Amino acid sequence: MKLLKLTLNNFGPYFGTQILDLDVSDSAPIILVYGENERGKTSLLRAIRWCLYGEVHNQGGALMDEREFANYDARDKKEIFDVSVELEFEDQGVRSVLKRWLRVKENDLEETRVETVSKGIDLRPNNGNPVAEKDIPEQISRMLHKDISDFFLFDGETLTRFEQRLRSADTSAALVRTSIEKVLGLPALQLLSRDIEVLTAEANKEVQRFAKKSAENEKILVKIDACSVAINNKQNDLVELKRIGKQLEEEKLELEKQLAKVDSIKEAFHERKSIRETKSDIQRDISEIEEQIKSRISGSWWAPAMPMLKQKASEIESMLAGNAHLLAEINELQRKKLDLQQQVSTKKCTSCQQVVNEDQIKNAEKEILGIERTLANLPTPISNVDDIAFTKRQLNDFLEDGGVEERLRELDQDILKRELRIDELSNKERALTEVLSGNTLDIAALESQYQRANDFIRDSEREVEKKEYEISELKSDLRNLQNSLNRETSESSPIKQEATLLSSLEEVLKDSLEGFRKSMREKVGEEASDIFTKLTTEPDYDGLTITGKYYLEIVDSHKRIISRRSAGAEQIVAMSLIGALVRCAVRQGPVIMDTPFGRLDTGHRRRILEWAPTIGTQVMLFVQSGEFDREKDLKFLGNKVGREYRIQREASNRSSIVGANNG
Amino acid sequence: MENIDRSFEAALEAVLEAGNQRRELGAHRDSLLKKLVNIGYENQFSPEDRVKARRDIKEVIAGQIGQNIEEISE
Repeated sequence: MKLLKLTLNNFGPYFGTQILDLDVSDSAPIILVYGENERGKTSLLRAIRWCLYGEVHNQGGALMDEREFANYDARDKKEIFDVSVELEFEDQGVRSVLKRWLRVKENDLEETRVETVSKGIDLRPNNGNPVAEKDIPEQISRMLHKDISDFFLFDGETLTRFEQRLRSADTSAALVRTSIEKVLGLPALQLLSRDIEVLTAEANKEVQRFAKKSAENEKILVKIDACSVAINNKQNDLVELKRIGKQLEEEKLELEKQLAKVDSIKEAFHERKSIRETKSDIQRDISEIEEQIKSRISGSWWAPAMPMLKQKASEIESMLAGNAHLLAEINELQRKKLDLQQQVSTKKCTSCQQVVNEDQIKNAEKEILGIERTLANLPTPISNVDDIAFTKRQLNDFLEDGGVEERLRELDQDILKRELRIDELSNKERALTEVLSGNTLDIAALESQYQRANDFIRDSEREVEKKEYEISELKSDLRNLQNSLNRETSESSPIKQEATLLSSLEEVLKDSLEGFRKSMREKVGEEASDIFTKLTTEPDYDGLTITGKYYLEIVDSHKRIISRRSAGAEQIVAMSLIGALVRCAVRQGPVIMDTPFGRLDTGHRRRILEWAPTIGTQVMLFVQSGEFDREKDLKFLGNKVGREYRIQREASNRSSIVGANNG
Repeated sequence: MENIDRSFEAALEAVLEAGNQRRELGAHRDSLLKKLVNIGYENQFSPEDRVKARRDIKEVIAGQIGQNIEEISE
């Protein structure tokens, strides 16, 4: 499939009609579209997706309300107007024009401010009659199936999502794997195998009808009947399970649509929810602090008398210190007096034991009198020191606990700080409540329903898996029984030959599926590794290796797996996977990359630009000046640029597309 | 067509490998299997393809049986 022309009418920021010629030659397959942020690059990608599939998901993965595509300038005219996208393309040599349109009128009561008057889709191949509307999705699927389109039409910002989804444990990993296998042509053998299985069952029925009447055959036929009935019952269960699964998927889709409507206010809702939770946490903290204050106050009744207690303690402290000093002085004087008295009575020096003379004795007696006078003049030491020391210890008990006053002040400050934070949060909450006041949908209920739907879908998928396993076991029994019947039936009728041949083919096809899957997986791994080594600037990286679940691991020169990957490396790996899938895909299609270089440095950007022309026969790059500098970067694309366009700003909500440097 | 060839070749190789020991498929086993893989590739894109695919398979099987009978009678 190759895109030839895109015509937009009142779509997104594009007022009126905009036409982009997209026909490029194989030798110059690149189409560059320059546009700054918010100018409408992503709208171009969405226009193409909407035209092909009638649905578009936003960057968060939620389904968008198509009325949002109605251009604002057209709405201002207050008249009924058309929003449309027309794609002219060529597939298998046939040119066709696909047009999807929406007729809308303004409605002030609606959130999106427009309501749909009518809508439709036309597909006109130039070699025949217009395709009936009901058959159009089928025709589009044949060219570029919606399930695999993510690998061809993608937003660089969300590029790494494929890898993340592949690694996830939920059902989306299985969906991506199924999509990848569709790209690689696995359904060719899977469906063939199923067709042969159906034909085998039909042929076996015929054989049973014509089986020769014998006691042995009768026994086998009874068993075949029982086995067929069991398979039939389980298959009915399976159909019912799949019907329920489909219904659940539809409910999930409906919920997605409703959630998409409130997407803009969802953020406000979640912020308000988080503010309420934070407020409640802070309130809980305040209550705990208040409890602490209460308990400190009730256990510290003396707290108000703390200054007086401190003073008393300090007085006792200095009184005891003074008393100790006095006692020491008295002791010293008494010891000295005792020495002198001994000197007088023995007439010998108490330290050297030498005889002292009369003058010395008289001096000693004078000194004794002086000491006695001093002792008499000294104050009397405190007699109840123990009582006072006990009082001091008691006071110390209070004082040791005594940062209480300070602690109470700190706790009070903590409460104040938290109350201020609550005030701040309450203001924010009020502002958000105003934003949300127009919304009548219960987002929490919707999200919880959505979660439930997802859970039910997972359960139902598990049941389907179980049922399918039981059926495959029964089918194997049935095959064995049928083979026994065939052996017992000597008649070599064409129907018996057909049944035998089909049964063998059924087994061959079943046996070949895993080999085919493995072979294609290896091809993807080799291609991805080849692309990766071209794109990466890290010399230590040797390439990629692919896992059974199509998840790619980076391998270094020592064949070790690199477990830590930067955001840039993730993007290069994701791009390598997509490049490999496009190379191995059973159907070729245009590759459109919106803002492909977002996370990448100059070195990687350069390598991707050099690689881009080899991805396919038509490669559209939607770039902004921050990621692509025409002056410096155009040379990396060589002479492979077939067309260039520039999205220019007309007004705040309006853009237009002009040809740029198209020779 | 390069991309389809790559997938087709891998599918055919896997089917031929799986059918390698199946003598009951007759002398023209490889050609029979190739015809079937072709049918699979031509009819893999829509549910409507199933009716055509089954009709084509039946034709190929009928042709094969006819061929086998001819060979036996010869």
